[in-house]
Amino acid sequence: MNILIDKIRVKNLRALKDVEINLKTITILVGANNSGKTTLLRALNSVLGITRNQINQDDLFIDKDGIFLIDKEGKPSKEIIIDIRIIPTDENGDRIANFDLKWSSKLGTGIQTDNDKEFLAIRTKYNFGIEDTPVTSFFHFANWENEQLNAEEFKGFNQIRNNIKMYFIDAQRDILEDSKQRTSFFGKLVSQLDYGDNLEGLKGQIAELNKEAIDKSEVLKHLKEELEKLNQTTQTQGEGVSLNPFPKKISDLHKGMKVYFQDSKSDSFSMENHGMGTRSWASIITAGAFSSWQVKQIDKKIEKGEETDLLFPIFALEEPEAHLHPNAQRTLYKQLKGFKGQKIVSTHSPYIAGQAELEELRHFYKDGDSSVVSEILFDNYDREKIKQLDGSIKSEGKTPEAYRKYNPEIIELKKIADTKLTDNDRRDLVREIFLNKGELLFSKALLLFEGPTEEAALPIFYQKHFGRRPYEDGVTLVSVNGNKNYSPFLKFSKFLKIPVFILSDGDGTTEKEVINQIKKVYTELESVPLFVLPNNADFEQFLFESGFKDEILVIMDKVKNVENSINEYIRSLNRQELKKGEIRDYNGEEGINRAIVDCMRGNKTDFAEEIALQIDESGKELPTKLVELFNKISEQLYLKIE
Amino acid sequence: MSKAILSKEQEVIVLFNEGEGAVLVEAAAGSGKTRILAERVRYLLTEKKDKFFSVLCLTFTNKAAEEMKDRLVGIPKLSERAFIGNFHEFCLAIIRSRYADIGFASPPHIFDQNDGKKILEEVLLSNPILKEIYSFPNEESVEERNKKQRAKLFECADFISTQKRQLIEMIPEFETNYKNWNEKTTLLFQDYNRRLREQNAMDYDDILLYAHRILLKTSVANIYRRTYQYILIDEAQDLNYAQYNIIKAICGAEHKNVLMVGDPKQAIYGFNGSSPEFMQKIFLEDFCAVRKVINKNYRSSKAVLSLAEKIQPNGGVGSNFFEGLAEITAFENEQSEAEFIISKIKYWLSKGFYQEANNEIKEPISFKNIAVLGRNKFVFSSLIKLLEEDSDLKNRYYLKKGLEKFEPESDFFKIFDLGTRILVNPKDNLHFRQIEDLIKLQGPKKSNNLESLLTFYQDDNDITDLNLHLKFWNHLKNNPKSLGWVLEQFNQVLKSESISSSEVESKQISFDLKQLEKLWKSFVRKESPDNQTLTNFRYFLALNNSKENKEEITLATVHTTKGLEFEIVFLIGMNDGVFPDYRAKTVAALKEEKNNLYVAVTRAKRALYITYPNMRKMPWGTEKEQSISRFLKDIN
Repeated sequence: MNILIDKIRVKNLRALKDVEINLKTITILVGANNSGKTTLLRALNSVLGITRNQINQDDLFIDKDGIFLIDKEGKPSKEIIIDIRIIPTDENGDRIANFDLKWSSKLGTGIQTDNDKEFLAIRTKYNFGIEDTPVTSFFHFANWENEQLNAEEFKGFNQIRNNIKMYFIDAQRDILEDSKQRTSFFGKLVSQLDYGDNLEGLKGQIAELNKEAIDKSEVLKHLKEELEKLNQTTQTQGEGVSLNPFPKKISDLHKGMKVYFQDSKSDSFSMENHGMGTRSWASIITAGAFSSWQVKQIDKKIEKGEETDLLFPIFALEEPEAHLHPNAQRTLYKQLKGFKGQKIVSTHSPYIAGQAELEELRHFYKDGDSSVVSEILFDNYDREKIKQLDGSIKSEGKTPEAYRKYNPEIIELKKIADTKLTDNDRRDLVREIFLNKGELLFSKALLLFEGPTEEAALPIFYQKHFGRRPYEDGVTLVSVNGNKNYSPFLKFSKFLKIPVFILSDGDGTTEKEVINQIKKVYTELESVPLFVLPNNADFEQFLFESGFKDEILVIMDKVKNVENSINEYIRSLNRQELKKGEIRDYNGEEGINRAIVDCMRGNKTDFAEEIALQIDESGKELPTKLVELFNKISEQLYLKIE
Repeated sequence: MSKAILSKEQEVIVLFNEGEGAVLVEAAAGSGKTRILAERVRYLLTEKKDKFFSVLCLTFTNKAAEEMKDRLVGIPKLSERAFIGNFHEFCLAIIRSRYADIGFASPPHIFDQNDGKKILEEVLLSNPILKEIYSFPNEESVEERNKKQRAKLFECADFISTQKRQLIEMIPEFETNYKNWNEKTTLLFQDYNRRLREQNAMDYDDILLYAHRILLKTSVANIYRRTYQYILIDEAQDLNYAQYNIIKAICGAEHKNVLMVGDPKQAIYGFNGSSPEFMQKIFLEDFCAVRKVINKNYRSSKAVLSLAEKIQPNGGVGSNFFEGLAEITAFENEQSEAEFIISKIKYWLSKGFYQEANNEIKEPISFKNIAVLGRNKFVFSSLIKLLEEDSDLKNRYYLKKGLEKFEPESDFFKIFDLGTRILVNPKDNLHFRQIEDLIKLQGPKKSNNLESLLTFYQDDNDITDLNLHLKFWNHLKNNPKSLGWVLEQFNQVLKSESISSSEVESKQISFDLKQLEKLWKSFVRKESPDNQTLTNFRYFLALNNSKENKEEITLATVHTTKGLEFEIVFLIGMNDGVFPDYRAKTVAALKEEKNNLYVAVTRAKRALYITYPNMRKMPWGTEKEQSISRFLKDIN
């Protein structure tokens, strides 16, 4: 679409005390209720909306004690600020250096450059004096980062608004209501009806249709005759009363316009008879149709050499998933993405968020009384930069001076890059998001561990401890698949500010490995509560050593459907090679114990859940380590134990 | 306004090459320059199929720009698609939006020539080695010393101005002998500029200089180049080095769509480094421009034209509907010259129109259609005296100035005016000290901002001058768009109390208030309500050179009348030594004087009265015999 609003900054508006948010062609806003998502949409809408909502006194930020922000002069701040930055882009929505000729001419010479890349940024200030309605003023930015403004108030904002328009589609949308209102997108579209050259023909056909309908219907004929009595009393000169089953005037034709929708083989229903899901969806699609129609009209004018504004539409959608089936929600995301222009969607639907690219997600979260907005960052840019610096060292002959010159920056960049996601991290995350159907994105906390045994057992233990399933508390359990794979999830949780807990095996160098990963991503080891299984144990051995030998043996027999199945196991595998250079030794009491643990390890998926259930049923206490872990989780998330 | 009717040759130029490419139009006085420009702009904006571009149309006066805009009213999105204004306005807009590129933290404010001289004096007095050249210790008489100091100041200001007009680059901070200037000159230049910068200020020359520096950045020039795909320059004969290079910076190597309209015969801005060379030679070479000549004068009557033709032959007299009138008359002295002018003015006013036999066209004549022109403002003194004594004409004339500045006479408004400067630019040291001097602040020097004055303010009803000032400054500080309201309040106060005990001062105060109200009104008409801030008003005052064309007779020096036209023109005091000026001795200077005269004569549409006295009173009291201007000798 050639341009994009790539940044918005909001200050002092409700929970948005001071946030700067990057926007993409499509941006998905996630986060709890009251975390500021709708406020962001309202902020932008107050600036660019085709029907602009009023910002009023009540919208000023106040802290939990009801106190306003304090301005530079020490007075309560009565000023709300909304900044937007417009940049030129290519077809993919990636930033390019220059605005094209069309947009240049519309945006004017307020365009500024930043590292030779152009942008146009505008500040809207709402100032509240005594009255409830604010004094609104607009300013150009000379520099976005330092918030340097042009002293002169910006005159051309209406010009911008004529070309960049926001369509705010709130949660109360309904095609049925739309079709009754002239101001809705539907109403606006159908009022532009153009019946082409055949207007006269159409008129005749409608008249014919009306006549035929009445002639063929006894009831209507009767009614018409009765109504004609009216003519006797009023002595009209004209046609007098007439009965028209179909609209008589062409210009009224659209007023009764109805949308019918036929679902598979059923009859075609009028929208009245459809559920809210379909009606809401239809309303969204109509908004898209409206803007693409406008764009078409503009293209026509340009073609004819007529003066015209451009249109860059921005769609703000609140919870488009409302009333829709999960499959429909997934389709909806794709359709939205196909809309011309920019889209900002707030959602609680894992199906929609799960479809989005990780870069498109913005996570809202309330820290005390103000909102924090976070996004997931990738390391490509930093790595590219490092490569360039390495190149510089090389091109300067790898001299000590060259190393001295560039190394400090390289080291700094590497540190930063290590906290960001790599392409491999992305793969792991996307897989997990796909597996848990987007739930990950809405988690209140992550509990990470190594493998499938924990994955099967921990939900049961969690429920035993809390009396609820983990997802009821928003706790997502993630098996990272090996002790080297914590990073992507740690980074993910760090960016989205989701608390994370780790339950790690204690065998070999595992602990060291995990600590390394935490430090790289979080710097502070303490940021991530880490629980390591005692006695260098893995989870299987841990269960065994926690006094559940009996329960394990019962399940083994149950699964193998043999009594004393462990004897069978020992008989067939004793003295065989376990792994290269290690021979199984199942002799003696110790040997039997080893055999039980090995057997569990070899049948993780078959045993784990069953064993956990068995432990649950046994009524025994959970192992101390797990209780510690659960207590830590409940302490941080303020969870109750039932 | 709808499309104007064009003559064949005007139309050829308007439509030339479908608006593309570089064109130089040498157009004689009265040949319809403004019309050609306006119609070219109209053609570009409405006839070009592509509508996604803007037009930059630069003039030398606000008046010319307003005239252009008036003619183009009705074109869709005109204000979006065309910048029509004078050079300084355009450059100031660039600076105000990109001040950061030239190292300012906020947009710099404008210091005028007087401010500049005061700063220069500070520079000269505060540096021991500069003081040497400024103190003239050997001069015994104070008068003589002052005279020499004034001359020195003028010399220094002229030097700095000349350098800036040559678009001098930034002089490195530690440079002590820039370009072999020697230490003193370098120091002078650096210190002067440093002091301006410290006060977040710039002088008039800086406006062009800074804009040019900003445009040297490729990425910035690129934005303007892309936006203004067509550039038109009015009065191009008066371009100077800086202005021409600003256009070049915007155009770069690829942008060639520049149309310049000018008349080398009217080149009169020579004192600021302007020269018709830029359009006639350099532009032709740099842009490979096509040269077009249009000689026909459509403005002036035949009589006026044939007289102009005798001053500067210009390809003959075109056909005009009017025969017109052009006469040269001698008078005994300035008094009788003035009496004649008054009687002629009254004659035309009472007649109310101009009409010729065998011609149906009747042109209305009122105050605004009449102008009295002179080479300098001293030739008006006898006339002004008579005008003041005449009850009918007393308030119906005005003396046109180059810049319509607000120059208060009363201390009350001097202080108020200075205060508004500090409000918009807290770093303005110069004017703050002027306030201090005026209100004779006691005690230690206050820090340089109005806050320190505002702390004096106590909210009681004690209407001392200062308290009143502080009250309204405070109000303006918190409500930058409220000057209109503040002026209203002044009015109220003036009605109920007398601010000053002196009668003279009271009169001055109410006169100043009226002046300020007038200027505020014309500002308000120009700016949208959102932009009616004190800051914008100060910029407006700094650059304002237009006066509302009211029902008043114009008295003007020739330099200020370019682009204007009047039905009836008096050109008075046409003695040798006045016109040409006695100081014009070189061939070039005399040529410019001739151009001046040509401009003056061609302002007349119908009737031109040239007058001169045979005797003139000298400043020292005696009368001296005068002769007719050498330019007119042969004509008479």
